[in-house]
This record gives sequence, structure tokens and C-alpha cells, in this order.
Amino acid sequence: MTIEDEVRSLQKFRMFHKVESGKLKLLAMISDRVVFQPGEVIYEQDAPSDAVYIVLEGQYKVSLHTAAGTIDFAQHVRGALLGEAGVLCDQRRMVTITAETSVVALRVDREDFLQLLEESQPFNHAVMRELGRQIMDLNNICAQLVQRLPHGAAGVDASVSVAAPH
Amino acid sequence: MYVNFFRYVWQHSRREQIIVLFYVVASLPFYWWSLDVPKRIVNEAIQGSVFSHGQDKALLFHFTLTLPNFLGGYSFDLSDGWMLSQLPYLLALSLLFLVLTLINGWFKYVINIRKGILGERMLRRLRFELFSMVMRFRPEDVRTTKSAEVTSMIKDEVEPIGGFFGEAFITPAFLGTQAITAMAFILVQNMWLGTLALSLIVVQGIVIPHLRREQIRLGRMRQLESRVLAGRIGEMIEAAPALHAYGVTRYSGAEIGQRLGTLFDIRLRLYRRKFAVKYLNNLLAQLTPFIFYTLGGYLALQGRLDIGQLVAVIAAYRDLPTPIKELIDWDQQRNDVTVKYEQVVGAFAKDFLLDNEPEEDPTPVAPDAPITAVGLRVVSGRGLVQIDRMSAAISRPGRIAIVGPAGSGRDILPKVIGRQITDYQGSITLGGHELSSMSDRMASATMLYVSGEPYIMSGTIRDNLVLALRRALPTPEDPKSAFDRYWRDEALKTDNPVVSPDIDWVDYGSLGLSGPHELDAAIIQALRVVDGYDDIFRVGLSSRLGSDLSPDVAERMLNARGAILAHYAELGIADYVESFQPKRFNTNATIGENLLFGVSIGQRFTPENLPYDPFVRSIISAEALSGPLTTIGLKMVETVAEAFQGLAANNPLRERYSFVDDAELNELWPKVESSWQRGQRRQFPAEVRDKLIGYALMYVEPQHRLNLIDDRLVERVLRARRSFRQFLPAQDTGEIEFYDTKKLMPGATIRDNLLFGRIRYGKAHARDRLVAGAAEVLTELGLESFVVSKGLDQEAGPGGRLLSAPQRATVQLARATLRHPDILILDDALSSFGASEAHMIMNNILEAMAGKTVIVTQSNDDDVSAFDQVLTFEGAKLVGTERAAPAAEPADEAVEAADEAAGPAEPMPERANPSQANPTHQEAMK
Repeated sequence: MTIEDEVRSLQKFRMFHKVESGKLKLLAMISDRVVFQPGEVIYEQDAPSDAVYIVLEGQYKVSLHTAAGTIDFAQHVRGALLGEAGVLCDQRRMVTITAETSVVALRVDREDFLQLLEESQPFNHAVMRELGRQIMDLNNICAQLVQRLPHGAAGVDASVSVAAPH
Repeated sequence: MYVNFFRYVWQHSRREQIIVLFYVVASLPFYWWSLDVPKRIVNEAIQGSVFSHGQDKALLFHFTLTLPNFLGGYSFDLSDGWMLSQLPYLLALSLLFLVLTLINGWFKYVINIRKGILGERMLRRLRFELFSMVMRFRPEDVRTTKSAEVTSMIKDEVEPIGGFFGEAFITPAFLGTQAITAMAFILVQNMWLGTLALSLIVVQGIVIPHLRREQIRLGRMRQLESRVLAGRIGEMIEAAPALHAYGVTRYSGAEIGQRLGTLFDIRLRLYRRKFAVKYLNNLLAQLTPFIFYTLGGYLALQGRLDIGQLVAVIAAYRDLPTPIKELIDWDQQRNDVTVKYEQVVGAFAKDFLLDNEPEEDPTPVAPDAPITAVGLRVVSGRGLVQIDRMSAAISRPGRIAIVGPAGSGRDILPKVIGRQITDYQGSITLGGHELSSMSDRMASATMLYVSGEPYIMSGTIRDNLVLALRRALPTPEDPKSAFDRYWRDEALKTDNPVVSPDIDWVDYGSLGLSGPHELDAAIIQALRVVDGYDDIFRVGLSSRLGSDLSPDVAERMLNARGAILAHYAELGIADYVESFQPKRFNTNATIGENLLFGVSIGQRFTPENLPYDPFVRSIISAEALSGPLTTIGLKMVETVAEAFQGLAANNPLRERYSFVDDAELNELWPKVESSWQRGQRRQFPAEVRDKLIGYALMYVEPQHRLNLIDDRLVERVLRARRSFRQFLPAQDTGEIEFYDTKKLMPGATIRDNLLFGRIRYGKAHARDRLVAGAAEVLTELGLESFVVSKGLDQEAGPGGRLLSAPQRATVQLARATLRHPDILILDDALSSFGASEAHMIMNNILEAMAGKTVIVTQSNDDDVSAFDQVLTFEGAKLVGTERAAPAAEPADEAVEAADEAAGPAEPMPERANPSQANPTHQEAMK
């Protein structure tokens, strides 16, 4: 797989539709292509946010360790940006990501990712759109969950993290 | 320090000045004789005045010392002399003249040397005194001092003063007496001519300095104007990025242009004046010989003056203007230098200077002595109140947080406690000592102030870490050799320190260490506290192994290689490394590395020089690699040109292709295109081809991913590798160390020596896991401290430029932790770290400093539950001094709390979360 192939894969992602191919090439050039075997951890909850991953191929699992046990989220497939929130907010990883199948991803170092955001306006927009989409999805999920709650249940507090130390 | 230059010089160099003056006086009789002898040569030997009465021999060197009449009028014959005929008489006198010239020259030499030494000593003394003065400035004054100005004053501006130290008394004495001797000589020869010459000199001495006064004024203007110019240029260069952003470069250009114009005008006027004065001076100097020739010639023709006398007068007069001119020069220099000296000394004179460091160690402050502020008020230089009348007691030991918004008293109080601000009203004391008047020695023994700006000096990382420990008071060693003695005596003569900086200044006692051998362990401990250990370990792994290993370490290193690979196999990460094998192409190494299959030692086979080396080039073309490599290089250049288009040359994103220099590329690309236009797609000029091959030699397939390596290329590179080794000329074998499993490579990094291969691309966290695995084996083999000490030996660069910003902050924190002071003040010292890392480091430091006092600035949002006392500021006002509930054993509790905070059971930090700090707001949301 060459940089050209990677650029072609990236172009197919919805989030990068408006990013010019030169910048996608730059993205590919400054990143490392990494392969994770099934079951291999891509990153661990509470580890430093040192890089952003763009999954080109494969399925992975998102899990959150809480004091009450581990919550597994739905499986995801290629085309996602992983770990950008932690990098942008300078926080440690919020969840653990594990490869389900063999996962091929581009790994962009934290500093390079932030530099690229400054460098390319379309890329910046693409990341913002992606974050926006995630917020909308989460709102949707929240609304569904709230509907399931019995009347008079205690409110939730955004500042209380359910994540338990790993 | 004396403000008067001459008093300063006399004070410190009296003895030497007098010795040189003695030489000056001793030289005068010889000078007189050297004037006298030419006259006798002409008159007596050539014209034969002593042979005129028919004698064929005359008496020479008959010296008689006749006492004056009041002493009895006795006369002693010192020498009887010789009877000589005319030719030997001439020769003897000529020889005498030669000897006198030599003696005069010798006197000049000795006087100059002594003058020079005297000047250099005084310069050394002055420079050291100025430096010591700066070191005694109050912190406020230091901050307002421009370091560049001080540097230029100590280094450049005192330089001409240094040259003048020797001249101050000696030159007027030497030249003055010489001039007087010459003048007296002329007067003795002929009263008339003498008076004439004297009057001309008087005219010269009055007119010339008068004309020069304007010259001096202009010179001073030039100095001031160029100083301002230099300052402005420096300022503009520093602000250049901003000037570009505002688009005001033309305006700033105009200003510089105008300043240059002013400078030009001053210089022009100066030149005009200078050459006018010179013209006049020369004229006056030439006028006198004119009068001598005409008047003296007339008198000689009249028979009232003999020719010998005339020649001697002219000779004496020829020597006369030089001393006079030099005297005038000296006077001008004096003017200049005294002004400069007064200016420099004035700039260093401050109203308040810290006291000199005491020789004795002051009594230490008790570890539980409280810090007490009574009516403390701090007003900035511009009259802004920064702390408004606060009174508080900080009990020690304890952990104190100073909380408030940025710019409030929170930022000021730590600086007052840390003695960065000593100009305050009211009082703040530590154990009864007023902070502002404590000596450095006393304060630094108790407390350490750490700011957000790390001060890293050039030197190794170790030097920087140990810097804060170098406060022992070593006694000067007794000089062992003559050179040492000379070295010490010179230092003593100029009041410089006699203790060498090279001896061990580390104060082991105060750290509880028994000696240097325990220092590394203490450093490692400190690095662990501030989370900098892994980083230094990594730096150590990437530093050169070097050839100065002890055989024991070398053997263990070699064993470690196998052990690490075995350990990797156990961990299941053995395939993360692709090892070097003589018959295999290493895909994770560059093509160049694959070709060399070794480590370049000298300059010849470094990656930059590789494509230009004739031997390498011949191997490349012999194995038919030129074409394929050029193609690879071209493809790389194309890719870089496309992807990096519009990216600044120093953009960090270019790092991976940093070997393709932007400027080079811009130069290269047109040449490539012009070759294409000529229809030669694969034929390039030699220099373009070499460049492209150079790029290709840096290519790593899994990293650059352009799919450019195929089996045929691999085959050819492997063949080239074999021929390279086979045909390498014998005299070049020292340029390269070939990879060999059974040998260490001193020229390679420790990592390469241990892994003996390249880390594979495409494995996430490979590097971290490999390093961790290697660290385990190295610890087992006892090599860990060796690697860390190699890391500590790396240069930090001037101002720490070779370190990253977090690394600099880490070094500064580790330096403070290593000192383990009774009071540690962290004034925004963790700002270079991310929030979560800062929190972790803070907890580590609190834990390591258990039982001591730590004063930390925190923002309003931070969690301050781990602190014993919280001082809260709003603006300049202290609004809260909450203290944690007093416990029975506060010290123990402190340790526990720190453990809890730093331990693994620490939840995600809730810091930086506004809702936490503002519960009312949250209520409203609900």
C-alpha cells in the first residue's frame, strides 16, 4: 500500500470530501501506517493522548472501564477519526479502543495533527464537521436514553466521570 | 569603585606604574647619547675636526666624572680611552651609535611589555569588578537591565580603556621627558633654532587640541548614534515577524535609512575635520625643517653654526614631533577614555546593591520557622499596586497554594517570597529575618524559587541539573606546578577568584550524600519525581556509544544485545525489530544504510556526503544503481514538491522529509524541468543527478511509502554492499564500522548497538514497548545508569536550545527537586506541561517534598484539596487564608494525602472543569 493508495482511501471518506488531494497527501506523508492484529489495543483508556488515528480498514471496539464494570460500545468500521478529542483538549484517553479484525490505520502525531489543522483550512473544517457529527449522534443517544428513564430519576452531571481508573 | 579614572588606576597599579617610570627615567641618558653621537660622527669622524691639528690619532671614550665645585671639584677618570686614527674612530663611533640604538630599542620593548601586562591586569580586574557588580544588582534592577548592553559594556566598551591603563601615567612621563630631552638638546646646540622650534611646538600644542575638541564631540555623537542604531536594528530583527504581519517593513526601513543618514553625516563631518587637522599638523611639522634648512643653512654658511650641529638639530627635531604628536594623541585618548570609563562605571552604579557574599556560612533557618507578612505592600515601578497591605502567617512545614486569577497578587507573592521582588513596603520575614535583606547564601540554603521560565545554561544536561548544588565553598588548592602558581598569582593580583571552577563544587553534605558516586542515583531519583526519567533514558539510548567504555561495560553491552532480543521474543515483540543481516536487505533502513551496512565514523560516508564521494559513486554506477536511484530521487522530489507546496521552509510538518531542503528544491526543480524540455527524461546534469541520488539514499519504503523498491533494486543494493566492503581502500577502513553481531559499534547510538537493527514501521507503540523491554533487560544487567548517564552527558545547547520546552521545564524542576530545599516555591513552574501531566508531576513533587514546605501558584479552577493552607487573591487583595483542619499529626497526614493524590487510584483530574468551581451556575442550569 503506497501513499497514493492511502490518499485514494481517504478521499472516499465523507469527512474528507472537501479536502484537496494535496493536503490529503500531506496528511499521509506525515503519518505512519500502522497495522493492528485482532484483539490488539489501539489505545488504552487514561493513556496520554499522543496521536490521532485514522482508520483505513477493519473493525474496532470502543470500551469504557467504569467502577461498575466495562461498558462496550457498538462496533465501528473504517473511516473514523480516533482520539482527536483527547488531543484537542489535552486530556488523557477517555476510552479504550481494541481492534476486532485486522485494522489498518494512519497514525498522526499530536503535534503534527495540530500543525496540520493550522495549515489547512479544509482539513480543519473536516475535523470540525466530524466533531459536530459526533455531538449530534451523542445528543440523539442521550435523548433516547432519557426517554427510557423512569419519571423523577436523578439528573446527570457532566462533570462526574463514570470512567474508572484502568 | 572610584568614579575618577586616574584614581582608580593609581589605586590598583601604583607599584607597577612606579617600576615602569623608573625604566623611563633610566632610558633618558641613553636617548640623549643617541642624539649626541650622530653629531660627533659628522663633526669629529667625517669632517675630522679632532684631526684638524695635524694629529693622525685622537682620543676616544675618555670619560671623566667631574664633581661640582661645592663637592670639592674632584675629577675621576672613569676610562682612559683609546687613541684611534680617523677610520677606526669613525667605525668605533658608528658602532657606539648602533649599540645605543639597540639599548633604546630594548628600553622601549621592556616598557611596552610592562605597560601591556599592566593594562591587561587592570582590564581583567575591571571586567571582573563590573561582572561582580551586576551579580549584586537587585532582582528588579537586573530585570530592567538590557543584557546585551551589559555584555557589550563588559566586553567591548572597556576594551579601549584596557589599552589606556598602561598609558595613563607612563606615556606622558615617557614621551614628555623624551620631548624635553630632545628640546633641551636642540636648545644646547643653538639657542636660536631651539627657541624657534619651541615656539612652533607651543603653537602646535595650543592650536591642534583646540581643533580636535570638535573632533571629539563628533566622535562621541557617532558612538551614541551607532549604539542607538545597533539597538534599533536588534529590536527590529526580533520583531521582524510582527513587522511582516503588520506590513510595516517599509516604515521601519525608512527609520533605519534615516538613522544611517544621520550617521553618515556625522562621519562625513568627522572625516573632514580629521583630515583638516592632519593637514595642519603636517604643515606645522614640515614648516620647522624649512626654517632649519634656510636659517640653519644661512648660519652654517656664515660660520656661526657647524654642519654637524645642524644635522644633529634636524635629527633631534625629526624625533621631536613624534613625542609631541603622541602626547597630543594621549591627551585626546585620555579625554575619550575617561568619558567612557565614567559612563560605564556610572551605568553600573545603582542606588542599592546587594551585600557581598559572606565568607562564613550563616546560621541556618529553622525548618519550622514561619513566614510572616505584616502590612506587605508591593507597588510596581509604574505605581500600580500589586499587593495591597496583606498580613498573613504561613506555618511550616506545610503545603501552601496561592490561588487567584492571572495577574493578581497570586503572581506577585511567590516572587516576594522567592526574593525576586525585594522592593516592597511593610515586612515579610522568615524565622525573623527580613527576606529582602537576607544574604543570597542564607536564603538559598533554605529556599528555592522556580519560575515558569527555565534558565538552562550551555553545558550538558548533567551540568544543568547539578548547577543548583554547586554551592560548596571549596578551599583553593595549593599550586602544584609553576604554571599553577603563575595562574594563582595573576588571579590574586587582580582580585579575581582563585578557586578553579573545575574542582568539585557540589555541596554533598547538605544533600545527605557521601560523595560524587552517589550523585547519579540522586539525579535519577529527582528525574523520576518530575517524570523526566524516561525522557533522559531515551536520550541516552539515542546518544553515541563512544569508545571510552570500560571493558566491563563493553562486555555487558554486548551481552545485553542478545538478552534484549531474547526478552523481546518472550514478550512477543521480536518482530518489531528488523535486525541487520549481511545477506538481507533491511527494509526499515534507508537505501544508503543498506548499501554501507555500517556506521560512518568520519565525515566521508555521512548521509550528506555519500552521493558525492567518488568511491561510493563508482560503486553505485558499477552496480547499475545510478538510473534506479535517480528515478527514486525524482519521485521523492515530485511528491515533496506537490505535498509541501505553500508550506513554510521551517514548518515542522516537513520534518520527515527534512533532508529535502526547500531552498535546494527550488534550485533543483527548474534544472529538472529544463532537462525534460530537452527531451531527456532520464538524463540529468551531474550535480542534479547526485542530489537526486542523495535523496534516494535516504529513502525508507515503509516510512515514505512510494512503492519504489523492487527485487531487482534489492539485488543490486546487496551486490553494491558486497563490493563496497570488498573494494574499500585500506586507508579508508577507519571511516566506517561495519555491522557485526559480535562487535560493538562505538560510532553508533546505544539503541542501534542494543537492537542491532531497525525498529519496524507500521507497529503502533513499537518504540515505547521496545524501549520498555530494553530498559528491563538493562536494569537487570546493571546498565541502566550507564545509559542514563550518557543521556545526562548530552549538550543542552545555549539557553537550552537543544531541548524541547517541556524538557527544559523538566530539567529546571529536577534541578530544584535534586536540591531538596526546605522551601520550594513553584511560581507557574508547570505551565509548559499539559494539564494532566502537570497534575501528576505536582503530586509527585508534593510527595517527594513531604515534611518540607512547598508553595505553589494555582488558578481558581484548580483543585486545592491537597494543600494545607490556601491563600486566595482577588486582584491585589488577599481575601482568604483558609487552613486545613488541624490534625493531631499534621506531618503524617500530609504524607498520606500526598500518597493518595499521586497513587494509581487517582480518578481523572476534575481540574479545568468550570462547573466544578462554580456550583451555583450549575444549579441554575438544572
